[in-house]
Amino acid sequence: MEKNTLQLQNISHRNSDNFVVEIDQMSIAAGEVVCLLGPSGCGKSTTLRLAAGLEAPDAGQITIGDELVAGEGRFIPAEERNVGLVFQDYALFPHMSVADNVCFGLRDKSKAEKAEIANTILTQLGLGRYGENYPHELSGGEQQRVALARALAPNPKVILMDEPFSGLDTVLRDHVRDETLRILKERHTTTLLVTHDPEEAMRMADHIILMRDGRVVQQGTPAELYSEPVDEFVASFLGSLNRVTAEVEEGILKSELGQVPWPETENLPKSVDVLVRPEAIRLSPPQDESEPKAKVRLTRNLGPYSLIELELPSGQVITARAASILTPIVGSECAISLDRRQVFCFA
Amino acid sequence: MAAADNISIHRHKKRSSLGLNGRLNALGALFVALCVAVPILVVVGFMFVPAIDVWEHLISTVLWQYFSNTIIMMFAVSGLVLLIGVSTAWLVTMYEFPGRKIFTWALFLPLAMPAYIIAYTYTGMFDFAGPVQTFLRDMFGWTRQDYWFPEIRSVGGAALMFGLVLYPYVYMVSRAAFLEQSICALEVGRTLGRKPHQVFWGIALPLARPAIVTGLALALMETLADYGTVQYFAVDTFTTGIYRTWLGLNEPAAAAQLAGVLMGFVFLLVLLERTSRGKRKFYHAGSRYQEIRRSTFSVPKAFLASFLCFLPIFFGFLLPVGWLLTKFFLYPETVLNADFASLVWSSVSVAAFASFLALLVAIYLVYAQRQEQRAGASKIGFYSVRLASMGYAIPGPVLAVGVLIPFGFLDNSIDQFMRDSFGISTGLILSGTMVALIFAYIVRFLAISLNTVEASAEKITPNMERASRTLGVTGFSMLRRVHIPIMSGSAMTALLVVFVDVMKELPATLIMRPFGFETLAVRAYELASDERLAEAAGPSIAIVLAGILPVIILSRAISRSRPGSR
Repeated sequence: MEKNTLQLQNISHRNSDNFVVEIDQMSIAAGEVVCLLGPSGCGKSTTLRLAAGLEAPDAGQITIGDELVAGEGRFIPAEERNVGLVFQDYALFPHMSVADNVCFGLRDKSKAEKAEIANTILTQLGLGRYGENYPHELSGGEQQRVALARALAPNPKVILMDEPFSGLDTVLRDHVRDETLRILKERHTTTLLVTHDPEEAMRMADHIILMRDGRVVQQGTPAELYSEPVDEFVASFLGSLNRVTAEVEEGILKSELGQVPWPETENLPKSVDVLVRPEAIRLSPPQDESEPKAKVRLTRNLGPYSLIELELPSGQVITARAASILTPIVGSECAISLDRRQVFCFA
Repeated sequence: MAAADNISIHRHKKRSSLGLNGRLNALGALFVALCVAVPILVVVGFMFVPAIDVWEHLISTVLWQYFSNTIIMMFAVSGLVLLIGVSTAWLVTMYEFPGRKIFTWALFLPLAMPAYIIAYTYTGMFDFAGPVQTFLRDMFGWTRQDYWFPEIRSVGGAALMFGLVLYPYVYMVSRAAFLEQSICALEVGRTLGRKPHQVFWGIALPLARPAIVTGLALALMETLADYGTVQYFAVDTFTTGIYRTWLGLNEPAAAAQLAGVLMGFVFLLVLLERTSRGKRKFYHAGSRYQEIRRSTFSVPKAFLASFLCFLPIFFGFLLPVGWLLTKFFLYPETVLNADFASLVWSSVSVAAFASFLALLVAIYLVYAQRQEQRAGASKIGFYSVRLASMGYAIPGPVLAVGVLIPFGFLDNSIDQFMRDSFGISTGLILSGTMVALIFAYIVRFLAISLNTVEASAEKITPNMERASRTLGVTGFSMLRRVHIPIMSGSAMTALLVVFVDVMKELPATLIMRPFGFETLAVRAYELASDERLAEAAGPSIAIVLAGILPVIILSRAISRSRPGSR
């Protein structure tokens, strides 16, 4: 495994609103893009501010590279940490040109050197011709890139981004997101990105750290979080779910959607809730009597795939997802089978 | 983790957010704010000192007069400023007609004209011996008994004067409000079948109402605070009453109580203004803005609109200034002398000093408040700033009472102490000095610098400061590269507006000035009171000229304020 660039250990911190953040262990390897994901108010921004040195933790250690920046009685403030921070509102200096904004953090350099650095980075970000413009003359996406350029210019060890795309409209957001990721990867920049949008995290991150109520709930690759959630919160945060009741028999969970083999049924109660992702429900024409069945109530074509509303014999309505070409006819009866990897039970 | 370790880090953190320094700053801010609030507290305190016999005297003689004149004037001024201010603002914002661009800023001009100056120019023009009546008599061969002419030196005349020079407050805020309104809201009204005038009454006016109330409150505050005009017109109001009760009857307690009643009026207005401002968010319609497409009038209507916009500028600015200039060119020797130069110098230097000091105090208070907000600690700084900005609502004569009483007390205490301990009488050290006068100016006008500095400081978001920190720029370097460049423009505005307000200030200066000290305003007023109107023209022109500067700044700032127009 590569060397960690940013590491937080045994952090405990109470901020001015009396919100408590406790993190046992969180690390980001060099060149990785890690997304700190969670609902609003889960402590992810506070964690970012701790990493930046804008707040000092009450207890615990933070290291950046080889250097201990907080803990053991030591606290290196933001200005000496050499981290780059990109804010949600970009926080560009309105009285400075784009080039001056980018040069703001460059010290001990001649004017020519500064201009050279600014020019290089602005060109790389596709902003080469905007150097003389002022921030308010630029579009939202361009402003966001200027903020990134300003943070990257002093060549920081880590880039911290706080909801950097939330100010952009949907169409622009996808594009800017991809561009940003390309630049970060090209430069091998170690990045910690805070977001509340699971889709954004899945799309950008090498690793996701999911937080809730000031604690880390799960860390892992996007695929791991999606298919191996540790609890219902993680499962439901990363995608939609159907909930059905199942009878517990030895080694088997039995529901209206069919039977699922389950390794540890000894400690389960007689009846449990089973969570099933829409795409785990496979539909086929009915073939024999023993198959679980459902009636198609409604279909909604979303382009590449469709959402299908199904009515179970008990009357419960669930949602399935299938490729558009496989969409069944409304009113027809379908047989159901389940992809076991997408079925969860957290009882 | 060891507990001791934990505590030491915790302490470290506290020091970095709001440590001893921060707390001293917050207390310092509170102290400064309290000093500024002393005059208000004194007036409030004196309301509890019994002065029954004086009140009996006042009630049996003049109090009813004070009340009725003050109320009549408030209503008349309200009507005038609303009529002129709102209608002109609507015309220049929504319609295209000849001269619209010029009217847009020229409608601000009367703001440069202090009410007491327009009062005596109108007296000069329209009283019995003035050019207008003389002309009428010559023309028709009338004599004194043959005709009726409205008496300019009356309650109605005073209200007219105030209306002519104070309507720009309403014009200013209504125009800003109309500009801010999403054109969509107005066009929806049109598509739903409302005629243009129905859109005005049904949509635009209700949307702009909170802003208009703010402007009205400002205009009425100025009306209540006025001394020069009502004194010159011999209209007895609370302001003249305070002056007379104190200096004439020598009853400071009763004067303070009258002042208290007047402050009651003012605080009602402040309350009105605050509540309407508080609701303002809800009145904001839509977030998308389009360029306003001004409708065009038919030719006769367009000229009517131009004429209507020209009227207030003519009567509120051009006519009085023209009259002053004529007097000035007829008697240039009243201006072009050494005495006038020293008068200008004393006015300018006092105003410059006071405005600079007010700016420093404002910056200090705003920074103490910011530091505290960032630490998320107490609210001392916040309340200090609010407390310190109350002075703007206090009329000059009330302020004078509030300043001179504690200063007199302080002087007497020092004198007593020195006589008891050393057998030396120090007399009055502070009362009647420049210190007291400049203090009064700062109390009166600090709110202007505070609001301006606060507004521009808000432009520097906490995230900008954080961005600067993470890029390694802190402390003085951050101040130099981020704060000062962003705030310098507003600081200049604050400086200039306070400067001009001090130049124009009359009642407090009149009461509190050191013996022999004169400003342009005092000289203009005294000459006018002595019926030496021609000689008053010189100092008046100087004041009006100075007053035009902030008018230009204000009108520019508002044109730029429309979202999406940059």
